[in-house]
Amino acid sequence: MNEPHKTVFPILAALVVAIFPHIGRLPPWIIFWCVVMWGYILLSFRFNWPRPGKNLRRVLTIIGIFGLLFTFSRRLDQDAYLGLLAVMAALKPFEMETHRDRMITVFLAYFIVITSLFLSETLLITIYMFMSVIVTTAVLIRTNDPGGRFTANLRLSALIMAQALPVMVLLFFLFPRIEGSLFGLWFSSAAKSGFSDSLSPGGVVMLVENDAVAFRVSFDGETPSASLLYWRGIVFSDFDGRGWHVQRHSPENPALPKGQNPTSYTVTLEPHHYRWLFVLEMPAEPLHRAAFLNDYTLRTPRPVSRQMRYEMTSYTRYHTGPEDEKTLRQCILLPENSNTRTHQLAAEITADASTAVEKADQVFNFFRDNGFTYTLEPPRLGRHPVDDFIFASRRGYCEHYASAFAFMMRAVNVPARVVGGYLGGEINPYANYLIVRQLDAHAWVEIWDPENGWIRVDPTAAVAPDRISEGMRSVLSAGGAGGFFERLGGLSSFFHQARLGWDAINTGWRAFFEGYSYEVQRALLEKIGIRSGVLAASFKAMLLMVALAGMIIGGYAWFFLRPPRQKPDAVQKYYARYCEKLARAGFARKPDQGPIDYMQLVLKNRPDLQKQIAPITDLYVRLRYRDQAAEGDLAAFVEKVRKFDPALKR
Amino acid sequence: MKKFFGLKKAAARKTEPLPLAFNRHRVYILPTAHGLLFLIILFAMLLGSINYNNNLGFLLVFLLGSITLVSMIHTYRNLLGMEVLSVSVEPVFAGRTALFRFLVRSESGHRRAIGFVMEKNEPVIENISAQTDETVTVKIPTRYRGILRPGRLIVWTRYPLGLFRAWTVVLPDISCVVYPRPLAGSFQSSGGHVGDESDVNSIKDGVDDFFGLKPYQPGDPMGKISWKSFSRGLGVFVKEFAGNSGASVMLDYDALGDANREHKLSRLADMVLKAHNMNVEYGLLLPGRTIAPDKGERHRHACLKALALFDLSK
Repeated sequence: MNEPHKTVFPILAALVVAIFPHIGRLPPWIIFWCVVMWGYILLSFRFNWPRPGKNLRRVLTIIGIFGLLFTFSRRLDQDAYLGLLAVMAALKPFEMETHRDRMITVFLAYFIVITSLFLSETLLITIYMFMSVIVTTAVLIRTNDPGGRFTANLRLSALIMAQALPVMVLLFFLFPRIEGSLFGLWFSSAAKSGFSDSLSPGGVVMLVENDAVAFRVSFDGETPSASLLYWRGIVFSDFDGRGWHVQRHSPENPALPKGQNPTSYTVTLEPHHYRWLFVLEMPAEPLHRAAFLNDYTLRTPRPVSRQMRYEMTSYTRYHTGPEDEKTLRQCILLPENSNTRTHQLAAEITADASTAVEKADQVFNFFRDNGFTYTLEPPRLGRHPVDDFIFASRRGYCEHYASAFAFMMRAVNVPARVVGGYLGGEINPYANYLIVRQLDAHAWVEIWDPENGWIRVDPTAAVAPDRISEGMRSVLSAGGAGGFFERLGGLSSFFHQARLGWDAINTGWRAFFEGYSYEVQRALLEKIGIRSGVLAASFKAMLLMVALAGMIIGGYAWFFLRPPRQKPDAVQKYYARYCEKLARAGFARKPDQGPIDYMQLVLKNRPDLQKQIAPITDLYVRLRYRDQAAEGDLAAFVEKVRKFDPALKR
Repeated sequence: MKKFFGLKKAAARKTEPLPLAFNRHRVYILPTAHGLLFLIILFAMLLGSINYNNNLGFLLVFLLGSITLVSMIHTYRNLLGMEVLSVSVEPVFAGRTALFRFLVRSESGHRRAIGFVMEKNEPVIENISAQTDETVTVKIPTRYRGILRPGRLIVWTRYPLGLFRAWTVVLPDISCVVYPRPLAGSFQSSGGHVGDESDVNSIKDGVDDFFGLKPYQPGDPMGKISWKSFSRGLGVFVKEFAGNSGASVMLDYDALGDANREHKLSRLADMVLKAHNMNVEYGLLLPGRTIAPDKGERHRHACLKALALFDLSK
């Protein structure tokens, strides 16, 4: 290629634009790999360095594939697929000698753009995607027309895309959606977030430093008060001396809790790649897409790898039904010879209490009155973490308190377990929904009382009542552990508002865009009068789609491909008017008559018109057939034709 | 359908008079191989989007699909309405490249990346400006003497996206005379001796004898122009030499001892060129055809054309 900057550089740019949104998900070595390869190509054209031949390219490909196998040996998921595309995209520009190679490389860029569908369907990603398509299409134009300017390519690309948009919208709404999937979902991502299936010191703090959105909730009615917003996700009922774990096999379908004033709401859960769903404590009904476990948590059959929406009803004041003996026995189990001092302490504190509730009160008071403090930076604990915590450090956060509390309850034979989830959330004032972030993660305890069923006890309230009533933000700013936004002071509230506003726009977009499913499409089709009859509604929709798309494309074809209209010029127009005037006087011009023949024919019968006709014909011939027409000829011709009157005798 | 693809029709088509506008009846369009590949990729991505019920995937697939459809119209429009006004070609010697110069014009808007191809040669890709007569030179290498009928000119475009190819077939009534390839050797005129250099020498001596100047006439060889007098501003004069005044030679096919017909013709072509350059009056004696001695470009062409066409039917 003589002029690499005409084609190679734009193609590289298209690849960079396509890969950019995936940078966070690519392993560092692949990013490095791409930078080195593309950098070398750029410099090789600049300094005339040799480019790798076929054999070296093969070797590089093999190295790249080995690297991929090494990195992704355990899992063949979206990231592996993306990695493969990136490794190819890094090497492909080395062979762009032919038109065919260049076309294939641009297709590769399109492919990477499309891979962003694995990211998420946020408004930002959608807008970026459209931008990448404009750039990639401009590069495709450049590939087929290396001559022009790139801005011209971009303009044409944008024009083509603008023309394509109506058809795209049509296809989007009318293309039949199906329920479920065709082949099952075989990709699952490894990037899990949120709670894991065990609770050991340090886990929740990791979440507290993360302000990513866990889920959003819109309530059908009033939002319950902040101190009731316990979002129940996981129940940990096995304690091994150090940490709490989820019970391996939990029975399903418990007796449904009873309560008053049900709260209904819709949760939009961000993918966390685990199987639990978060619901307001206590869920009042099962969910048809998930199993309802005996500990009142919900499990999906597969990890949640895409945003998921579900509707739920809960009782914030509830009475759980009876519990089976096996579960209760399990909830007082403690390993032998672990944390023995706490064991004794629990017995001492609760010596004069008789019921489970009284015992819980005593332990709660113990935490409140003995100098325990809430901190997100607790000291490390030793082999007996509960003993260390209670007798030595006395500093910790929800997880430490929940763990110690549940331990002490079990030590005095009250069935107890730790519940993991989120507490509170932030109301978005722009769209009236609740945002629950990872930093709202929380752990609390529930104890079994034969009269009241499972009762929630939040030992963190004993040391940090603000955490419960005002949410995590109050704790963060008070503890000086604030993030970037808190440190900005006055600006922070502006940024925070802006972020909430954007979140509202984005959430609205996603509710519309992602929510467009089989059911919504059905409703839309019914509204425009398409129902299943002899033909299925989806088939009719398909026919309508093809017909309308055909009309749009046909309209474009008609508009852009019609022959250009010949504008008759002034000379032609006025000569026609002159002929018309003569025709009315009885001398129609025959199609094969030239202007001079015509004049002679007319003069034979009307010699009196000589003075008028001769100059008109003369001017016409001059204007039409000779190049020597003078400046004022046209004006004179027009003037004479205007004034021409066959009835005038001179 | 046949008409649509234009394959059968083009094969049987007669030559067409120019100028010729590319109207809707003669511009065809089909996806390219890349276009088909792109559609297959889109279909795979559509299946993926259906499977994941991913609306972003749907949106992208439909966007790219619509862009493909729209690009079809752009491609078609890039060719539609163009005109081929005329074509011309100069005779060439066998082994050289014949240059067919097409005069093309686009009345409505400029055209980008239009390919012109004849007979499976490398296409010429040109941009055509609006309302300007543009010359497009299509090269065809020649191998044998005779009349080169280039056959179909295919004018095509893949612009803008390369996913579709619009094309039209033009069969212009044009042919190129291909002279025999000149074969250097001794100069033999009729009555001369095979292999004997004396004739040539005698003429060469004559060439060297400067005789005088005569005014330039079109057709006089450039090599004979007196640049000295031209540079003095005296006008264009041609040097005349003593040797050629009145002398004329006949180049005789039968006098050549060689057995191979093509060989002989090549030798004669070489001699015609030499005689022309030396400004000698020369004639041509071919079996069944005689060209009387004369000089000048027109005569040179007549002789070379006679050689090109000689005994072609066999």
